[in-house]
Amino acid sequence: MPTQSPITEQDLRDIVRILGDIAAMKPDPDRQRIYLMNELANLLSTDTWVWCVAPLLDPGKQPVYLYHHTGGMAETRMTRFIEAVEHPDSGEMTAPLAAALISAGSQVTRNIEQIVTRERYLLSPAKPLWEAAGIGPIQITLRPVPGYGISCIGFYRAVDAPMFTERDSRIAHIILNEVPLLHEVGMPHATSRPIPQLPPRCRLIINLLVRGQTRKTIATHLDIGEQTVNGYVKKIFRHFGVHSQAELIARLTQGDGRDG
Amino acid sequence: MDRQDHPSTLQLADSPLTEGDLRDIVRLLGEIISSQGGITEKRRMLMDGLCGIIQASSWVWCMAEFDPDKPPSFIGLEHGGWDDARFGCYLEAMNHPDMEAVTRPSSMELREKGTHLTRTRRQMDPDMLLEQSSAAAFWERANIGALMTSQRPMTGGGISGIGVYRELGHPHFSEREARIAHIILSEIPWLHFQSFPDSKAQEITRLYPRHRTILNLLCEGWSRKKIADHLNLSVNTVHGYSKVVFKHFNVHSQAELIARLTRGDGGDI
Repeated sequence: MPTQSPITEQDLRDIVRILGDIAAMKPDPDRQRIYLMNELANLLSTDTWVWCVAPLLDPGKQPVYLYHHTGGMAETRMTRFIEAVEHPDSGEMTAPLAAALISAGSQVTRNIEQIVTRERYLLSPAKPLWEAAGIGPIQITLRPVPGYGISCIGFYRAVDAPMFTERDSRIAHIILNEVPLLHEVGMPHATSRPIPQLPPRCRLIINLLVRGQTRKTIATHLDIGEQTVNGYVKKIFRHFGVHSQAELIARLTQGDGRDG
Repeated sequence: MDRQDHPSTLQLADSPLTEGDLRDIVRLLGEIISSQGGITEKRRMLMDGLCGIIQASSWVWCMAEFDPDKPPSFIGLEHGGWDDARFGCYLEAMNHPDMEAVTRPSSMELREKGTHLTRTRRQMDPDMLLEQSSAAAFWERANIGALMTSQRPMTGGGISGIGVYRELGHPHFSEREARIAHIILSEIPWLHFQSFPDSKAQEITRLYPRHRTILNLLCEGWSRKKIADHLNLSVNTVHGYSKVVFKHFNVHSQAELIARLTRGDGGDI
């Protein structure tokens, strides 16, 4: 624990008030989680956050995420965001973070400058995708979920906004580490191995399907033919042994117990 | 020192608080968020947890009247970390007639400022009036050394007061501990939720100290026999006091009294 903490007493007060409010809410983990994430984002001077889980952690390889909750992201921006995440170079750039998580064996929080050098980022072929998603500064917390994989919580600011500070990362790190509500429930259960065997394009489409987008919307967003999307979707359905989008969503996000 | 003027932009490194305190507090609140149970259970968890962080051994939450010109009067609503006998002694100490002079300055301050105040025993009573008063022996008998109270004026009138206590022989609460207690007790409003109309507090104030102690013990659900044993009185005397208390509040049973005073059955509207 650093002796010089960048956190202020006002921060502590705000945190106590927010958590106190959540304790007084009717027990509804999803609603409480989203409330907490929105308030936490507010403390970090942003409104944009994404919380997802990745069943597999393999540094150097593309992490596979399933998006659970987001704040401040409209549907189009979210699609752009997923495209940026799924770009192979994003995986390469974030490899040190995955490695840090593995070597720490416990939760790590980093901002983008601590993960990748500015020069490296400027040269990245993924950079235009991040900019298209309207995202500049990033702060990510990775947390191992025993028996499952990792939980990944990201806070994002607009392209020209100032970087996240040491204070921001301490606050997020402490809250995300000490509030079990954020991690204890709502994990999809049955997804660990199958997804990584699918090609990247399919993984992107899985996430769009899970978010409830229609094939037509997906085709428009990704600028590919609807027939092509249909082909991917068929492949995905076969892979999971499901017959409809609804079944896929149930399978991946609620853990319908089919392979339990 | 005025706690309300404490600069809140102070970095933790320069405040008596540490990041370790922040972690402890966040962890405690996190556990409460994940716990089952209603406001009563959560309040209990929070108070027990707060006592753990600041190393207090017991706590009391009460509703009280804060008229500086009257003896302090209160209804104990919830408490933790006491055995019956010690809690009985505590109520006697609180209702001791000399307490009025001791609590007067902080009551005045509360009335003047109208905001949430947290005070350690030293701050509340810098001149050590309590030690010199005849109430001191009662506090000693209740095995209470260090104490800290946090008082919040309620919109419905009266105040919600939370006290945390250490046994005799332990050090006073530090600046850091007072700060932690103040932040938690003032930023979590539901700790204080329970209406307590003015009228009730005033009614209590008009009772003699002895009656107030009996009233508090009756509200704890103690039998008259138990009260008599504890206060070293005959059961008949306690019966007599109880009758006065019942008559005062216009109730006919102990159950009715408890409902009336601690849950607000609307009998005085």
